[in-house]
Amino acid sequence: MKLRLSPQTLSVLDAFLEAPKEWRYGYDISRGTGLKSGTLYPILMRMAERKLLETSWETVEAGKPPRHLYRLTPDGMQFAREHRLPRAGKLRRAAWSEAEG
Amino acid sequence: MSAIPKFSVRLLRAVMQYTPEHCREWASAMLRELDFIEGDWAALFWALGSAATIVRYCGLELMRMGFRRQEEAEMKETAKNVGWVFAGVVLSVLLIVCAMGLFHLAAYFFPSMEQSIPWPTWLVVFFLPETLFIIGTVRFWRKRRPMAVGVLLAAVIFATHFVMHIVSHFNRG
Repeated sequence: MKLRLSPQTLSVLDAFLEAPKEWRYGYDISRGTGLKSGTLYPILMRMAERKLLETSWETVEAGKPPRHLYRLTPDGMQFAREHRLPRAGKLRRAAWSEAEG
Repeated sequence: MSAIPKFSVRLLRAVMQYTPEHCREWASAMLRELDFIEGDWAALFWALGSAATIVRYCGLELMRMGFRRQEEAEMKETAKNVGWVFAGVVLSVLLIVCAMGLFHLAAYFFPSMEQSIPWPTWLVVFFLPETLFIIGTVRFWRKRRPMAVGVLLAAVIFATHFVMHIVSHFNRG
């Protein structure tokens, strides 16, 4: 599966870049980005397939169901920085030029 | 738990039953999150979105896998059938060889039998094997049809050969 850099994918990358080394829950990412499960999970699945995202099951006490956790891999971090920072820079430049104009 | 979250959980569990192995982890991940979603309707929308994701991304894969398995099974079945047809032909040829051997053995011990196409020869070389072929075809038809087809094929070829042999023999005579 190809990773399309849609605004939704970029917002997921942003969410991960807020705390790149932390494990995140799917629902928390959904709340943070405002994406529904039908949009968020295909993005996560594609990212995991391209080894940009690592997944893990939370270890919890007995009787409590474990939750799935997500974190960027080193490749994922590099990918996110490469694709997010230039866009952020462009947006910043656009905002400045708008303010100046 | 009210009816809507219960329905959401049931929906995702039902979808999970048909999820292929490699997608099950993701389906399970979406299901687990349901316990932490605040609000019944939010849970329902989460379940609907998750079910759609599973069907879209894993359902297609499942269909592809199903087709591949079906094709493989069909190929195996065809190979098996060809094998049984071949076995039927080999069995029939062995029977003909036995009949010929029996005829030659009889001719060796009873030289008077060596007349031009006498009835005993016809009986041993043609009618006996052909009768056995027909019995074999009828017996195998229901249980092992490809083998019956092989026997029938050999019977037809043998009968054609025999008829041609007789015709050429009488024409010479």
